[in-house]
Amino acid sequence: MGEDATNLWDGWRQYQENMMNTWNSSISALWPDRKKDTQPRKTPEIWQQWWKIQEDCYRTWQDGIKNFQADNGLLNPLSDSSKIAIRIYQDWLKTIQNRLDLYTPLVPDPVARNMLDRITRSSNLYTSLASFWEDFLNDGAAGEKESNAAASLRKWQEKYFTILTEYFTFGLPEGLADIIKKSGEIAVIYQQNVVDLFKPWIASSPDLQEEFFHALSGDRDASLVFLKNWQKAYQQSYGKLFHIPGIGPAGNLAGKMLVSFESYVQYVSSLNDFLAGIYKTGFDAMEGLLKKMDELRAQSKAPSSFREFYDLWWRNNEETYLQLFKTESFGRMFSEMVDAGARLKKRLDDIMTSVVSLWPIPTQKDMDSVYKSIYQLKKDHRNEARKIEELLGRVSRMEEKLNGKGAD
Amino acid sequence: MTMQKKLLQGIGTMISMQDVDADLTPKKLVFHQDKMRLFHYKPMVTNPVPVPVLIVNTLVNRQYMMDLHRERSVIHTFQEQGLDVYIIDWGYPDQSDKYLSMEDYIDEYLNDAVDTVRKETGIDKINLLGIYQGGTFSVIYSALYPEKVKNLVTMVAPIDFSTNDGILYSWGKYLNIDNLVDAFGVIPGAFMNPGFLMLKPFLLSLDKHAGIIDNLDDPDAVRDFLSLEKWLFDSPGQAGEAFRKFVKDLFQANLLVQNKMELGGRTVDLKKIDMPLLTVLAEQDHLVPPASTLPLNDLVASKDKEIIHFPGGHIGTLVSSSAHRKLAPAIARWLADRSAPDGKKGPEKRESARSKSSPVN
Repeated sequence: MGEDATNLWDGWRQYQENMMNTWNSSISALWPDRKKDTQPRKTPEIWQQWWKIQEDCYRTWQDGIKNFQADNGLLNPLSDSSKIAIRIYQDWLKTIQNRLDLYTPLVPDPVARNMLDRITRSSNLYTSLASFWEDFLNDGAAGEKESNAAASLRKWQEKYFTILTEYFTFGLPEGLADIIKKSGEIAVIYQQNVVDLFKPWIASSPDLQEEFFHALSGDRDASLVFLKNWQKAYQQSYGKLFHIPGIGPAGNLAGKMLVSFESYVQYVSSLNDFLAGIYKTGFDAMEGLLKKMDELRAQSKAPSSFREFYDLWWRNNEETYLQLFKTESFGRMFSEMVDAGARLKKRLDDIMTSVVSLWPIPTQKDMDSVYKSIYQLKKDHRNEARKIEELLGRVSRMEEKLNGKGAD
Repeated sequence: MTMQKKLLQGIGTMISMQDVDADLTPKKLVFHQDKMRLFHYKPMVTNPVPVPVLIVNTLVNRQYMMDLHRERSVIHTFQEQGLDVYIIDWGYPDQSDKYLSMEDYIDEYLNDAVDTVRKETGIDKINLLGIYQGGTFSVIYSALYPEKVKNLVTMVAPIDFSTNDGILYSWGKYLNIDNLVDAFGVIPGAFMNPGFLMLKPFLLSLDKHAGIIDNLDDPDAVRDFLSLEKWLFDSPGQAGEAFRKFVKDLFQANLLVQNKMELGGRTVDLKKIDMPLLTVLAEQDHLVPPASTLPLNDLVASKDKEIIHFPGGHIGTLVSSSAHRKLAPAIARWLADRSAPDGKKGPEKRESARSKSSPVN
């Protein structure tokens, strides 16, 4: 990392630390017993006091942040909405998160950089959950009656769904998110390769273009029409150049494309089944948790800190997902999705082999043949070396015997 | 709020950290074949245990999990306890290794490594310590070559695959391994890792990272965390043919415990295992549940056999502080007690748990 970056980082970090200390002092001044009693006292004085602190806090924040943020007039602290302070706070947190994202690439060690990225993403979800938790507390502090519990529950659910949607690929178990991401990558690679392959034709034919995109969206009939028309276009263009008859490589390639489209449709279908189960479980888990929290709150036994809520949340999710993962139906669905991905990859490789075989470069099939020959040669070499070693051992033992006899 | 502050401090800590080191204990390369390498760690005592121990690692992770850093190095603990340690590094298979079979791993690489240790030390029968999948390999090897193994130790090794206690066991039964291997050749580590994370989805993907935030201002804690993470995600791929057999014969047909598994034209008969056996299981193992590990002791012919119940998780058997304070020394003592050159228990018998089944607390 360059010296400028270090200075920039140190300066910004120092500023943020000061800012946080200011914020922490302000909170302690307001709610010295906040840790023990997380229900904020709802009195006008406190709100006025809090508002003043927010104003001071915001000014300090604005002064410090203006060097780092081009658009520094986003928020108006003189707005008559009492919620502006919360917005400032939340936006400030977002700014910090954004800055963390910016500075993460400066970490020199790749493992540390990767970890920091994971940690930052964890903290994003954590912060969102914290905000959700604050709402829960504030609703409680506002003295919502039992009759309002259902409405309150709905509100939390809506907010949670927003959180879950916003962070879905991360709010989900990372393994799942990765699988979805990697699976998505297979589909993207597939699409990109297909686009590249057909580019010369679809670029010059609007009809082909339209059929092509319908085919890519998983419409099997459209894929049939497209392939038929493409084959015609191919034979009238490159087909002539390569003197390839209709039943030659072009026909073969079209057949492979058709099979690959089928694999693609099957893959998308498997992935959708898989995701539907995952999403539903996530929402079921939270719905159960919210109901439980509502019951606990009615009994004045609700979690007394965000940490308690967070622990309850992730453990509840962990348990719910593990129950799902253990089921036979999930095992089958998961395997089917992996299998559909594998089938798609094989079809894609087949297409690439067909395309590459037109040029004088080795295909994957050629390389596999080379790998197999090398593997066999190495095996043969090891066996021969072992035999030679055994023979040498025998010779050596015979020599010893002979020498021994000679000595007698 | 505190979390934000800690995150900022964490970035500072990580920016100042140039590299995450592991695998630092000095070692010597004594043999290599293709991508497999065999290393030797010199004993740290003047009178080491006379029979050397060969550590057989799993294929899915690198061997330096035994040597993450000085404070948590199983290798270092073994050296301190007087063991003469050898370890196999399987390397990173690439597409040119897609045809490597289980026969190649066990009959060739592992057997050659054993022979090299025997030659180097002049000891006919050596100690074998297999970890995770390497434990399964060691069991198979010991059944096929009992004349070369003096004592066998398995650590959280999957043996009986009929259980559904572990999620991997349930998924493995439905996996179309033929399509997967045909499509990939070598199954990438990055493809396998998400599956492992899914076994404890929120703990391993979220809470672990949220939890470290509290310690981000502590460079030592960050270094410990990163060295473990580095190892966890440093995952070699699985050579296709070997993986195909592992899944089909073990996860799906469970042939090993039925004495029906074949390797290189020979049947693997667990009753051929008659040397002293120490089985280590982890009571909270989410990858290899005790139900998969425990049956081994009932399937072998060994008269001297013992089980250590480790009160922790799978990886904890190697990297937790309890593993370093208690488990690793207990394994070293068990081996030392049975490593007299004449095949009898040594005169300088050290204190060791003698019961058939002992907890390590």
